[in-house]
Order: sequence, then C-alpha cells, then structure tokens
Amino acid sequence: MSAKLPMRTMLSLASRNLLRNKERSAIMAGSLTIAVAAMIFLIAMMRGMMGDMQTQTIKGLPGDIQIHHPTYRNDPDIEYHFSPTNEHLRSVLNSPLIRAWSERIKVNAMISSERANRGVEIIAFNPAQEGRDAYGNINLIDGQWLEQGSGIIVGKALLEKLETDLGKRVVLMTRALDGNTAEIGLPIIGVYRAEMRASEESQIYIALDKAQHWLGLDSYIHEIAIYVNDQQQLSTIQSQLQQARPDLEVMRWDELIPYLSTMLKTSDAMITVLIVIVFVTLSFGLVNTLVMAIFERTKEIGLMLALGLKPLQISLLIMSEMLVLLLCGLFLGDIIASSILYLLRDGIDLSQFADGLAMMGVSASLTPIFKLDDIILCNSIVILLGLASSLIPAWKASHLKPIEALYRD
Amino acid sequence: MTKDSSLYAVQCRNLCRHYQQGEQTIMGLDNVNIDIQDGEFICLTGPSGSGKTTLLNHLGGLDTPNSGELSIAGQSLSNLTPSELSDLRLNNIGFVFQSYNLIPVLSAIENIEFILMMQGVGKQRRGQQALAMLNEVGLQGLEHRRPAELSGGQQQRVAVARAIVSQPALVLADEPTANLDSVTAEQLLALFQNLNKKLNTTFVIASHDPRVQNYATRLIRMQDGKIIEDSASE
Repeated sequence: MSAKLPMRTMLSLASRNLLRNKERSAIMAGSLTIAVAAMIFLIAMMRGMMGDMQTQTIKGLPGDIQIHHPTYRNDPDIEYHFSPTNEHLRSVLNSPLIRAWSERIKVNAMISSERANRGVEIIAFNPAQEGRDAYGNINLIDGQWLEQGSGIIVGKALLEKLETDLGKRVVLMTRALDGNTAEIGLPIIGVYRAEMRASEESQIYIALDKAQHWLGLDSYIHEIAIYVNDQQQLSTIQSQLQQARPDLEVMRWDELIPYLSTMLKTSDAMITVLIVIVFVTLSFGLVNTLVMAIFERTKEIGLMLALGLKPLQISLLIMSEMLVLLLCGLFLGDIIASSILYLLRDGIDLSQFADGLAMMGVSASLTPIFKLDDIILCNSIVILLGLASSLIPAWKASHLKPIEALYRD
Repeated sequence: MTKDSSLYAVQCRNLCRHYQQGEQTIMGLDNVNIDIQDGEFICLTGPSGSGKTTLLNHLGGLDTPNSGELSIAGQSLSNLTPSELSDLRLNNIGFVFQSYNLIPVLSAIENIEFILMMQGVGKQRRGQQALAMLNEVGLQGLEHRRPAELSGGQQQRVAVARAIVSQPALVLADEPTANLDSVTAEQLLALFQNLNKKLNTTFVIASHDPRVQNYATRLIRMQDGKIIEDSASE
C-alpha cells in the first residue's frame, strides 16, 4: 500500500506551514500582490492607450473602409479621382451591412490670412451625407457646422497660427484639375477643437459641392468613406465593394494604417512577454525564500519521509505551499487592480502631456480597458511560473535522505 | 547453510556502517549479525555511541549499510527503491525517535492520525483510533494541543501513540521512556507488552532503562558497533 496524502490535507499542511512564519509569508504574498496588481493595471493602461490610438486613428481617417483611385494613396494628387456613379457600387453601399457612407475630396492647399499662411489639408464632404457624428473627434466650439456651399471650418490652433478670427475671410490656394492654380476666398464659419492638436492645426473642412466647383472636378471625388454596422463584417463588405469596382482600391482601416494594426495584433504578445519578464524576476525571490523555508524544516521533511511519505509527495507538498501563496497573492492583487481600475473608469486626465501624447496618436484623456481575458492570462502565467519556480526547492526536498535530514541540526 | 530470511521479521548479515569524521573512520556498525523473529521483545542496550541508534536506523530502512545484507519481512532492502522503502516503512514499521519528532503544525491527534491517513484509513475511523490511542497513552483532553504546547514527556507519548496506532508488525523505539516519569514509563511498557502478546508485534527498543530490560524477552548488548552479548532476558 502506497502512502496517501489527499489534496485537502496537503493544502491544509501548506497553509499551516506558511503561517509558521507569518512575516516572511506576508512579505512573499505582498510582493506577489503588488506585482499582480501593477501588472493588471499596466495592461489595462496599455489596452486603453492602444484602444484610444485605434479610435483616434479611425476618427481621423475617418471611415472603417475607404475607396480610392489605385494611385491616390501613394500620390495624393488631384488628378487621381474617380466617379462614384456606378449602380453596382451604389447597391452595395446602400446594403444593410453599411451604416453610412460619404464621398470626399482631399487635397493639400495653402491657406492665407491677412497676417500668415500655412499648408493644410482640405477635406471636402457632403454635409447632408456625412453628419457631425462622422467627425466625432472634432468639437465645434464657435460658429456653425457646414452647409452646402457655405464657408470653411478651421481648428482653433490653426486660427491662432493664422492670427485671424471667426467670420473673417481666408484665401485657399491649390492646383486645380486643369493644372492651373486655383484660388478661392471663403469665410470662416466655424471653429473646432480636436482631441489631436496636429489635426486641429492642419485640417480644414469645406462643403463638397463648393470644392468640386472650385477645383473643376465636376462630380468626381477622391474618396468614399464607409461606416459599417459590425466590425466583424469588414472583410466581407470589403470584398463586395471590390467586386463592384475592381478598378478602385478598397481598403479596411487596418490596411490603411498598417503600423497600428500590427501594433494591435502584437499587443497580446507584448503583454505576455511583459508579464513573463516581471514574474520571472519575482520568482527568483520566491524560490530563494522557499528554499530557506525548506532548509529550516529539513528535520520535519526527514520525519515525513521516515514515516512513509514518498519523495514525490514531499515535492507536491512543497509545491502546494507555493500554490497557496500564489493564490493569496493573486486574489489580493486582482482585487486591488480591479478596485483601482473601477475608480479610474472615467479616464485619467493627461492634458498636461497632451502635446506629447498627440504625437503618439493618443488623446489627453486615457481610459484603462479592463478585460477579463487579461486577468485570466496574468493569473495563469503567474501560477505556471510560480509552480515552475517551486520545482527546484521541491526537487531538493524530495531528494533529502531521511536519515541525514532527521539528524541535521 | 543460510537460513531462510522469510522466517524472520528482521535478518542482518555482516552489516557494516562506517562514518568518516575528518581523517578518522568511525565504525557505527561492525559486522553485525542478528535474526529477529516475529513477536520478539528486544532490548538493545549499550553505552552511548555503541551503535544502538545506527542499528535501529538500519532496521527501519532509513540508513544504508556500507556492506552486508538486511531483510525485513523477507524483503531484501538493498534491492528496494526509495519509494518502495517508503511503502515498507509505512506498512510494516512504527518508529519512536530519540527526539520526539512530531510534525509541529499538526495537533497531537493529527500527528497520530497522519499515519492512518497515509494508509488510507477513512476520516471517521482514523479519528476514533487516534483518540483511543491518545487515551491509552494517558493524553486524553490534550488531543488538540500542538507539540509546542506539550511537555517533553507528553510529546514522547504522542510519538509512541503514532508508532503503534496502525499496529505495525515491527516497532523500533529509541529511548521511548527517556522523558517519562516512572509510572508513565511502566504504563507505556505495559502497553507495548500487551501489543506484543496480543498482536505478536515485534519490538526492538534501544534503551538504558533497566525497566525496559525487565519487559524484554531478549537482550542485545552493543559496544563500538559490535554485538557483544545476545541473550534471552530473564
């Protein structure tokens, strides 16, 4: 008959052994708690930052899918336009999978006031087709929203750079479709604030009909932006649109901004690597403390071996001590991290660092994203690494010779 | 002609164990030969350092000889793996160590139950058996005390209770009466004798205590790792 050591007894023994030196166990559990809480908090912040980058980028495009002339993205010249009048394309655009769509002209131009001039990007769209919702990242703070044939909307930062004001006229200058210089004087009818200062300084908005007439584009456009109801359907919609207009380039947002999609795709791997690095470092401390604890109990381990406990059961007993410690640390760490993240659910105001964050494509308010998957991942890695690190002391303990252990001073 | 080892509870042949202490070689056991039959009550005596504890450790499969053969219940120990040795100890041998050697995080009753639990005895039954054994050694009412809350004598009695609770075929005890008052020592030895008679349990007790010699049916005297006298006690 082989010795039996039920799991319940093993965990009970492990808990009692940990309580023998309360101070040491508290320090070990405390370091685990802090590491786990910090890790979960950091992951939530990273997720929040990446989610924000994604949101801001899509808002800045804006659109989940965009259609362009095949050359336009490499060379955004006015001549790379296309005609949207195609029955097949329109039937796909008006399908229930698509929430909204809009035609746009985008050209680079020079804007001049009485005192200064700047290079800007003109975004022309049909206000009836594309409401303010599409431009969720801009906040009209003065004046009025675009209407057919009205003036322009500029960012507050650009307004300051041009040293002009709402209601005043500015001159826009660019190359028209015929190759000649095109100039137009338009009143500033609205001023907006954007979450990204760079957008606020460089993007101006104008009605589509006005721009088409001014640039000699007739009904031609540079871009169709599409908003879908379900992000999971992006690829399906993309292929339907591509079939409708094989002569055009149809791209999803993640193809339009590949660096961001790569970052998002690799974020899980980055998070896993981060957790592993932190806990491998921590596990050195845990192993050392556990080895010390076993060294102090050598005689007792010898006794258990002498009474008939098998070396493997001694190993399991030592590992169960680590398991109890890990579970305590994880439980407390999870609770602390969840509480902090709950308190920060409305976001952290980082407006003091707005300029720096804007360069990274992140807004000035950062809301951590709390995902159950991340907690499960973090906890699983900690348990696996913790148990793996306890293998060394467990192996040492199980290889003690009963006689030597029993009579060790 | 070699006697059949299965006839004996314990059989030692030319057992040698030496230890190196610096340049000096100390003989723990020097060519020891013993045959112990089932149901013997043996007192192992001799001065300190004579090899009593070393012999007990070998008989319990805790130590490995440098040379010689040892078999317990017909099983040669030299062929057994550490895991098989554990099984042998658990199922056949009860130990009372010189220093009480209780598990400090377990209470008195839990220390006794520990053996039964390892043997797979059900919770209720092992609780009853452990409590009965605790009463037998006169520790009723102290079942929930941890070793640190018990006196040396009380700890010794818990260790004795643990050694005999599972009714092993062989009990190896190292100075079991050392910390006991004379009345308790007598009670304990009477308990050993009772088990020996009732269940044919073999006892090998290392002791200087003349009371143990009175109870023993065989006396083995050791000196410098050798058996110098092996006789039936009067």
